[in-house]
Amino acid sequence: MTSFTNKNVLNLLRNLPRLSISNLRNNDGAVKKNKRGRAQHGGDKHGHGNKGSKARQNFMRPGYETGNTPFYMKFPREQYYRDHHVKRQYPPLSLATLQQMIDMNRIDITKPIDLSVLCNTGLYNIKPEDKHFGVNLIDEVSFFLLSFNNIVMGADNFKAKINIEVQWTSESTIAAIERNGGVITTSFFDVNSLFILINPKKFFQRGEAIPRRMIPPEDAILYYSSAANRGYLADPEKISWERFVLAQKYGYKLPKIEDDPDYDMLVSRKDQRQIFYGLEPGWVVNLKDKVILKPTDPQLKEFYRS
Amino acid sequence: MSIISFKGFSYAGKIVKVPIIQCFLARNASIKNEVQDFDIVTTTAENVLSEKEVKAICDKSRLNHGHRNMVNGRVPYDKPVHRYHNTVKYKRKMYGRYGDASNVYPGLAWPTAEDLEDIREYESVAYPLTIQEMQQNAMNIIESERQAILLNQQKIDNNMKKLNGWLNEVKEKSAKKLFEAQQAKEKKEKLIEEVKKHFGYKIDPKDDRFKEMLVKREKEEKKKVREEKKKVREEKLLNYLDSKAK
Repeated sequence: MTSFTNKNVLNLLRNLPRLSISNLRNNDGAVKKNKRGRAQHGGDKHGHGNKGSKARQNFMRPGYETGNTPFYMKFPREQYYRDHHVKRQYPPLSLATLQQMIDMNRIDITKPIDLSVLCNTGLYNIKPEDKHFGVNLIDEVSFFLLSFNNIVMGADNFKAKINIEVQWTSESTIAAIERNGGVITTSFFDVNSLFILINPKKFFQRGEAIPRRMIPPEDAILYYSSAANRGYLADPEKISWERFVLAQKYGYKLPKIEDDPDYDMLVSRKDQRQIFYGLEPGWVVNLKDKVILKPTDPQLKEFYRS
Repeated sequence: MSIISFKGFSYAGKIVKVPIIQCFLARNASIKNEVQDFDIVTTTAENVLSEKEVKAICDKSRLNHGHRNMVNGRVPYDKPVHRYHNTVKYKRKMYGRYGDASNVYPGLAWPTAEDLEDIREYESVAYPLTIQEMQQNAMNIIESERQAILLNQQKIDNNMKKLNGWLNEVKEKSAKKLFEAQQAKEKKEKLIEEVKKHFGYKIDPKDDRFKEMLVKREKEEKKKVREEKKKVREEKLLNYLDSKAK
């Protein structure tokens, strides 16, 4: 008897509709439609009074005073942010972060480091389209390391001997690098060269000849030709003098680069017109065939040499 | 040459007797072991399909031609299908991506003589100055700024030296002015006093008679001054003549 009823109940259960997406429904009041009724369906003033600008929603723009000279235009002002949108920017990179990249083998210090290498770590990137003109190497606290409650001053804890090329830097950063027997150069890249430098593979796949690096703009010429900033246009003799001066100022003994086993690496520098280490302007690099094509036409040669 | 491939169902035995190329064009092989409708391409030794045809039949990727080429590392299109495919930019790109296999002449990578002219013209406008000229200009600007500051400082120094003299001058001038004002005041007071004496009683200075009298007095004074001046002049002249006569 019991089995019979059980069977019936089971059959009933089997035939009952299952809970599915097709028979699910929201709770009452869960969805509230914000409807503004029209005409006889509750359409009257809707809390906006009778006629006039308030009922018609013609809001004035902020600061507009219906025909008066607006207050914000009454007095002359200093344009603090004038031309900010066209100024060159150098996104910072801390020496502490650089040290960490080196420690984590993201950067090979047996070769010269440039923006290409920094972008290749995957930890640093710039956007030339946003007026970023390269890396600003700073000696400040790394925010990445701060998150572990370790306050690490970049300049004090920097221990690597590197040959690095940056676009902007400070005196104390230069001192931190040169104290370890390293070399730093500040050099300018125009926007076109920057796009090439931060993603060389993309450029090589365009199948074009490597262009020449263009000269810096007038307002940056002194920075990049100053020996104190280790500019790439500065006189090398003046730079060696400034290296000595800085060592005296910060009170460290300047390691002799001439006696260094990595002398060749440390003194390797790019030409004014060069974008990549070891690749001259005018060369075509084909990654598929693994070949480098060089121009033979005298006109082209002359052009790329200029 | 020929590829033999089959999935053995009921009639596998029949197939092996002749060289055969069998490809299943049906997309969904049924799970059930039923005989499906197959397009069976049967060839004899005389009627062998070319390799291209075989490949076409065997390709089950459902990719279009261009995409299949790209997946296999080949140039997507054998012939240009879009007018963009005739541009230098596209051809360079094909060479950059696929190398010699792209059949693009690598010389396209460099600018032509016309392009060079264009580039040179652009650079002459965009970079009119050489590095040395720009350095010189920047140094000149700094120097002129320094000179302007120096000049200003020199001017301040010179003026500081003269400052005491100027202060004295101002003081003297003001003292003189005060003295003159005082004298004028006294003179006027004296006049009023005299006028009062003339009338013999206190008279309002706003009165017309008083004013008339004042004007008269002033005139007399002026006359007196003039006569005095005349006298002085005559005396001078006489002295002069005397000195000449001697």
